[in-house]
Amino acid sequence: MKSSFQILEILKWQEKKMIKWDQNRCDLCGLCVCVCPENVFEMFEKYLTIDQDKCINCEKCSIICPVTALSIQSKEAVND
Amino acid sequence: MIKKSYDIVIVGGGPAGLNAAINSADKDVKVAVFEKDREIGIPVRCAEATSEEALKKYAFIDENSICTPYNKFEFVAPNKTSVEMDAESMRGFVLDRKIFEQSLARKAAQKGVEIFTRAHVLGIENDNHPLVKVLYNGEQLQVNCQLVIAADGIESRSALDFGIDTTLSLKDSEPCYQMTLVNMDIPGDTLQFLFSSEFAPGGYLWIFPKSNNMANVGLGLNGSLKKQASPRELLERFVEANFPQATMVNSTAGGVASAKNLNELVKDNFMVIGDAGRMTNGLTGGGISTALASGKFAGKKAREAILEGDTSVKKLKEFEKYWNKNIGKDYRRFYHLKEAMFKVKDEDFNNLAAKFENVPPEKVTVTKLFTTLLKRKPSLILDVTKVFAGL
Repeated sequence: MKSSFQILEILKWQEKKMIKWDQNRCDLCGLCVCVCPENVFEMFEKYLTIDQDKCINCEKCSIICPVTALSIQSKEAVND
Repeated sequence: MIKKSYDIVIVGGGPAGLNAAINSADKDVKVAVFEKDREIGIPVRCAEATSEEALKKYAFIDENSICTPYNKFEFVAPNKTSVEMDAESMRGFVLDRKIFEQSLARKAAQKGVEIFTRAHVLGIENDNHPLVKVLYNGEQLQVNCQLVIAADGIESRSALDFGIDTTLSLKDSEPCYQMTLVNMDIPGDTLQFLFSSEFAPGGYLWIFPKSNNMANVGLGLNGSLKKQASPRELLERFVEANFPQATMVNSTAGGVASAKNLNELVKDNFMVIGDAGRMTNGLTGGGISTALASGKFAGKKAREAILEGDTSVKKLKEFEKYWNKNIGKDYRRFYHLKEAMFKVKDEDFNNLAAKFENVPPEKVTVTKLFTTLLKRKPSLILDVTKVFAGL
């Protein structure tokens, strides 16, 4: 059981983090789609759609990606 | 919006989906295949080797799609000691998968299957019968059918629409990277498997010849052991060190589910097969034969269900039972072996190779190799024997 303080910390952290997709590296292999427990990803033609709101920052996608096309970064970095 | 209607809709035009189409369609059963890529057979995310027995049993041998036949295996330990094995009884072919899948597609088309490429399935509703929404050439199709077969590969989302959880754990996912290299000097009849905790922790490297001069060289590692270096970086290092003269003509990333197949393979009006059903060999990562087998079994059962007018989960469970009895059972054993292999260290591989180094290739069997490797795990030796000795 997490304390309300911990939950608040997680929420604050989540607020700051986003998944960054590097389209130039991505080979569209679909492994991120399989490991994501929240079904954040969907492949559509040459694109990977990412539902950032559903992300729980478990980082499994960035760990599994064979070509380091996914990373968890601060919102500012992703929007750049 | 365009409305269409079929008896069976198959999502995905790979070996599983096309073989399901071949085995279900004729003038009484109307079948459509929706493939998201613009051409059947691309992209190839595969090492392309499969056994002759599986092709004969579940599909057919298409001479044009054979790059090279193989009848030998070579296992290379981390210290580069190698063990050769005569694999005449497990012989097979390294295929050109694009040509192979296109010949499956032609066969399906000859049976009256309609194949749509660049057809992206957006979602499936399932009230009384399935309604498949497809984006095709910029237009939305609404496709009514009695039964959906999901064969949409490892990235499948169709099963989710039917309430089947397909999420893979990191330890059951193998991130892979492969290059097709030219200017190689390799035996064209031998599949090589290399073990190394440096390059492929929890997995292996493969060198599968497409001729004496060209090969698919790749590696897969266990998702839970993946460290800083990505499979692509690891493979680049390996190729640089071992084949500096080679030229790359193709490279691809890919994922293999080294899991047990899904617990639920059917729902009302729904079946899931191939990679989408996690029907890969957890030990080797091989998936062509299981894709073809599941396609054949599912296609035949789907056809029967349509002709009987019963696509209920109760009827379709017959496919699940048949699968588990004929193939799933062995594949659960492969999965246990994979878990055991996970604990094998580099020195264990080196010791094993030293023991077999001077054994003539015709005396080496997979059963002997595994029983030696896992001798501290007597409970698994029975599994090894059952799987590889065909008991």
